[in-house]
Amino acid sequence: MTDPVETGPAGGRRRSAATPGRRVSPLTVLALLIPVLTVAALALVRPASEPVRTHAPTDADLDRATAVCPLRLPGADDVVLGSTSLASGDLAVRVDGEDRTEPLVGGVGSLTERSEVVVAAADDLAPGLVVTRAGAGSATVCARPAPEQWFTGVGAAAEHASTLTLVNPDRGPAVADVTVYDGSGIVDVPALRGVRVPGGRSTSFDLAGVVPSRDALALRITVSRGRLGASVVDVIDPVGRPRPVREWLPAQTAPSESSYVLGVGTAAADRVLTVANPGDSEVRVDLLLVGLDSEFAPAGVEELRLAPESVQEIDLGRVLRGRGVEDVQALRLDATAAITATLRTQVSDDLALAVAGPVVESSAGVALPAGAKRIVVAGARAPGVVVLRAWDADGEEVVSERRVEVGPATATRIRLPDDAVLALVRLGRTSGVVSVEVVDQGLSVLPLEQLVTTGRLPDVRPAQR
Amino acid sequence: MTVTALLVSHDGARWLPAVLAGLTGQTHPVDRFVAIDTTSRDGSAELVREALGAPCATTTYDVLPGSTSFPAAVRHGLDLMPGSDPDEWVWLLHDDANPAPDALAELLAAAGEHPEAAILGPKLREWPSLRRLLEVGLTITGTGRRETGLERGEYDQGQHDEIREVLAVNTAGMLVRRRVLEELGGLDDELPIFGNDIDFGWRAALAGHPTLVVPQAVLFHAEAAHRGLRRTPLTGRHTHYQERRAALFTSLANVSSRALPWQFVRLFFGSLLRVVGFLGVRSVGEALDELAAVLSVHGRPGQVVAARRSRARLREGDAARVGHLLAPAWLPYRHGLDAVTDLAAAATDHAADVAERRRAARARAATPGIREERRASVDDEDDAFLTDSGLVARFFTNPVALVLVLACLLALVAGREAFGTITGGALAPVPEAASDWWGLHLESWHPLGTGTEVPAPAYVLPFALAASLLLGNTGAVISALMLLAFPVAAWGAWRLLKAVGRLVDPLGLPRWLLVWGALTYALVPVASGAWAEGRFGTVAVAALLPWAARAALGFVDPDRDRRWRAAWRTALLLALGTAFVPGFWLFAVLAATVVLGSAAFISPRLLRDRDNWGPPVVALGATPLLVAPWFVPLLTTGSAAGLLLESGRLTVDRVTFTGLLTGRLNEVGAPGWLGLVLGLLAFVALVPVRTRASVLACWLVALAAAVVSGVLAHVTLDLPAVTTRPSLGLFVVILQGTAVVAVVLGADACLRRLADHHPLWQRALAVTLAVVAVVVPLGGMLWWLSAPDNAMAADAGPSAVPAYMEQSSLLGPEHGVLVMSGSIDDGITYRIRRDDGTTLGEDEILSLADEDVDLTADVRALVSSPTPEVVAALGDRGVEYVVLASPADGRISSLLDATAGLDQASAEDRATRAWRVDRPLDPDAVEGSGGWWRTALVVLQSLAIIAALVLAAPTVRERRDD
Repeated sequence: MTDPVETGPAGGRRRSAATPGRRVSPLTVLALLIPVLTVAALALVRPASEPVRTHAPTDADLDRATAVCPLRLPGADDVVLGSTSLASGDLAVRVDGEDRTEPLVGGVGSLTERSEVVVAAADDLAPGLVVTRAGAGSATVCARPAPEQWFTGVGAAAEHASTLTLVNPDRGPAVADVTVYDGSGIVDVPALRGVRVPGGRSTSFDLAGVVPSRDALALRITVSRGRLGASVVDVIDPVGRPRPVREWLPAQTAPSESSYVLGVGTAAADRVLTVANPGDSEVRVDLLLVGLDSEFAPAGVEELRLAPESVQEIDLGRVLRGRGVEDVQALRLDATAAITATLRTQVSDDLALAVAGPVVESSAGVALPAGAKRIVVAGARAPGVVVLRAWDADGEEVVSERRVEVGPATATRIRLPDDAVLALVRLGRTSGVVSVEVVDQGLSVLPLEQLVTTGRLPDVRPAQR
Repeated sequence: MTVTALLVSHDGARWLPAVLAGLTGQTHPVDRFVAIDTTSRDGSAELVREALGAPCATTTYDVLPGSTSFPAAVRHGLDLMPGSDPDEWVWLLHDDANPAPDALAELLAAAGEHPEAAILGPKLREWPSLRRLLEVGLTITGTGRRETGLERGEYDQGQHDEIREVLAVNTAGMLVRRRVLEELGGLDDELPIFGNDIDFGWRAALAGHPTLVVPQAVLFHAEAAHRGLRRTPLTGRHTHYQERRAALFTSLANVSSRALPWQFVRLFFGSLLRVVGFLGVRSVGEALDELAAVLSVHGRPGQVVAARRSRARLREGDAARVGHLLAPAWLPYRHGLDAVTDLAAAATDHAADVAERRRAARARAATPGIREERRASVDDEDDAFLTDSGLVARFFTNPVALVLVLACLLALVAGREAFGTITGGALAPVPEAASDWWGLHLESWHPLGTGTEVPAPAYVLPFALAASLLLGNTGAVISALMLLAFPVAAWGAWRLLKAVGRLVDPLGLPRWLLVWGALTYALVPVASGAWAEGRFGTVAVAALLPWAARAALGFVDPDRDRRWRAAWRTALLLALGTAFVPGFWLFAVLAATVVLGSAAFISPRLLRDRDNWGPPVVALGATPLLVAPWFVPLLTTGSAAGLLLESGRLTVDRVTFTGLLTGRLNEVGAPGWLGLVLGLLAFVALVPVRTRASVLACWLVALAAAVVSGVLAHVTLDLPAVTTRPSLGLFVVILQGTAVVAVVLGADACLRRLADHHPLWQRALAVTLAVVAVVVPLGGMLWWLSAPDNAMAADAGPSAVPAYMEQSSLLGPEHGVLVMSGSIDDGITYRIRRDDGTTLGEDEILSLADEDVDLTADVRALVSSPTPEVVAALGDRGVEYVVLASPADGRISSLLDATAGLDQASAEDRATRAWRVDRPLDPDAVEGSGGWWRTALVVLQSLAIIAALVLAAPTVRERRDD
């Protein structure tokens, strides 16, 4: 193998001896050429491409969906079922531990039930499952179990008391941690730490009993095991009123820096905004009012300052009363860090709770209770269009592709027929916050969530080691 | 007192005249003389007859058939000359044993002084050298070896000149009382030629007759029969058979009854061991003789029993008295050690100097008839401290040795991290016991993941062997590999550079240049960052590369036999390197093809001889055979991508253009400019004209490595878990290695040039270059010493699997743990952990094993829409637990929480989630069977390794007989 080595020196000597002149020997040429070629060959080596560590999920039709309806409030026994897929079939319904099915025809259905109701849809019915419990001036969207939920503005005193209910829709146990914020910080509540809810059961906490406080509170519910549907019933029982007023407090899935609270209502009422800052630094919040034509800062409201991990109430009764604010549809809260917010609207015999709604990117659906209803859209990112469709209880389309232009810095209001039981809102070229205001013996506000019609199939592959 | 001399001759005409002259020239003449010839064909009988004259009362003579044994001849001689005197002595003589003139007189004088002595023997010296001692009394060791108590070739300087009692003396020159000889029944007929002297002495001792050696009496002995100079019908061609048979028989016939069973067993297995030993040094004939001897003695116990019975009748006196005459019990072990040392010395020496032998061969060819003149090499002193063991003083006065040892000690300090358990990077944790590695090597089907037929990497066999040698300490194997890589690489580089240097420069390379080259090269695996990244494959191959290259130099040896031995040596080293980095073999194939191809082009005549092209071809062809249980299944299971990877946990190769130029694999190596200096020096090495061609040859190798790197960098290997490109670690080592060789050769030319007087500026330039060069190893070592301690452990994160699950998974292969990590948004990766987790040697299997598509589909279903059926499938696959590693995606965990058949289980921390599969586990979940043919490959590999070792071993026997 080393023959070149062996014969090399002799050859080298011979050659150099034989060329006394200035002629360049082939060896010298090679001595320059080979290193250059070597480096050139090495230059072919490109840095290895960065290994791809993340792989995006793919979309697939949602094949299962669950909605958890809370226990009824007086008069609110109706459960409206809908699926924006408009498919017909049977929904699995569990009430008091008993399983049965409820038919859905043309995407709509209903039942009357006093207890908690767990609705499970599979296959065709799963995309766009929407469920609402309503009646007697109260209404709430039956939420999908979520790992994290926020309830802002709950009370734990005699005149303002709230009840938290956790419903486990599955067979296995579920565990949740409830963090309670009050005006000065996080409250240590041992009873709400590591709450275990056995499979198929529910657990309720009367906050006035568990964490008695005169402050406005905010709750953060984190589910660490299993799935839980959480609901809060707010009860206002001011001294000197004949009877207390009740309403479900909608949940907020996450704090946000820019929030729109839709559902201000038009009647004269006491309005209290509760804002919670779960972060560990002070937050400044600017309040703007969003009207049908414009957004503007209300007179006489100073910038809000929220201490870390604290909750604060602001009385907006005066602000939202008087001239120039008649067409205000929403509040816009611009905060320096993520916050949660709830607006409580209270007249003598009714209570309405509106929370900072989630942003709807493309479409939202809702099962509609009886009564007068209108859809409010605010916080559009860009000029765009809202396309509204609605169906009545027979599955007939009562609103067909109604298109309404929306723009930023304005709110839009669209009336819905009273007999509509299912609505589908699509946003074109923009995103926004969408709510439904229902007036039926009182105002209720239902925040709409982005419709989930597809499941996300994660990329699955063997691990490298 | 009568002395009867008894001479037995057979084909001894070469020596007889001198022997007869010696006999007649005795200062004390013999009284009677009997000569027996066993039908010589060379005129011995006539010689004796002439010397004796006509038979008479005091001299007689007879011829017996050629098959007559020595004992029978002696008995016949005595019969011819019946005893008369009760004080008669018989003096036995061989035809190749010449007594000194005063031999008989001294023997008789000693007999007078020691009247109790019945047997006396002279001191035997070598004939014809006359000065070397052969025997001064005899004894036998526990293994039946004839023991003289002398060193091989010991000169007689009077160091053994005292009369003492011994077990036996040689029959050549033995003076024995006739009465005793007859009482004991003469020599044993069972021992026709060899060993009857020891047997006789032993019997005499047991019967209470002491044997004395009288060193003042000298006999010169040619040992014609023992050396095979003379063949008799009795010895035939199988001298060794006769000798061993005699030894075994003597030992068994005379040993005490108490020790007999042990001796019987010991000699049997000892002989089998010797058979293996003889085969190991390719002495097949002797191995067969040995085997035949042991079968002949042990196979016929009746013979031994009869011999023991006849001896028992004569036994009297204290048997323990004989004990001290036997050789000490430790002696066989010393001989064994000597033999091993000889073999090792031969093995390290036999590649001594290709260059020198080539030169000598050329000189012989140029001037035929002139004997090879072995140059008393000055340079032999260079590595005298490496090969010569007893020179402590020389060691401490040898600065080169001190520097090398100091460097090795510093390397141990710098690599102290490896003294403990090291994992991380490419190093997975080691398994619990050596048996795990053995199992991995022998199994055709591995219960890993969902079970796979992908073979275990080839280095598992050497690891298993090493771990067994280290008493099952598997961690010590890795520690030893990482710690010894530096000294082994340095030593190999030293020897390679020396050999290459001699080829290029007849004077050899200056020692300090060798030190620089050896240390610079030994630091390559460390400085490149392979060490810190735990890439033990690259580290191991870096240590083996110079050894393999040096073995390959043997292909140009002028001696045909040495070329073939070099082939097997190269094959073994190549196979070992290939076990760690398969690309090593591929590159060797490429290089050999290029070299043989160009040789065919330049000098086709050279390749016409099979002994020229054969060795490299055999070396390359044998390598796959030596790693067959890995190599063949790798191809049949479609895992050929493994040929382009290196051993260890897959580390995605990140070598860049600058990295290859500076010899850096990653960011954890030494500063790049140190490597760049080496590259620049290798370029400067092209300047001296004298060595330019040789340096250019190094550059050619570098060019080949560069071209291959350039091509491989554009190859993408799509493995189930990851997409990577081939490992380029080997090429970094090759490039750095060739640079070191080039620099050393260039520097040698430079130094030789400066030896003549040259301008100052040239000297200044040389000094500057030397200083720059010294910076490379010095800087590398300093960097290593100061490098952070925990480079390797950096990414060995804590296990996601709770301890109780690890315990449970040890219960059996079906107690697997499905570990998933990631999130819906970023993708989920999964693996099934079984037994003691993924240990060293299993990573490669798992990396190459085909993705189990069904399992992937099940896991996808599990994390998107789990159903009880999916959970049941997990049980069928032998999955007992499901772990969602921290931070667990809440969307997935809530899905799994909601699934029937999955019970929530506790995990190490709150961010990790775990479930138990509440479904029956299938005990046969990961059962499977690989082909029977892999077992055949394992057997084939074992045989190939043994054959290669034997064929690569030096020819020890020849040397001894020279």
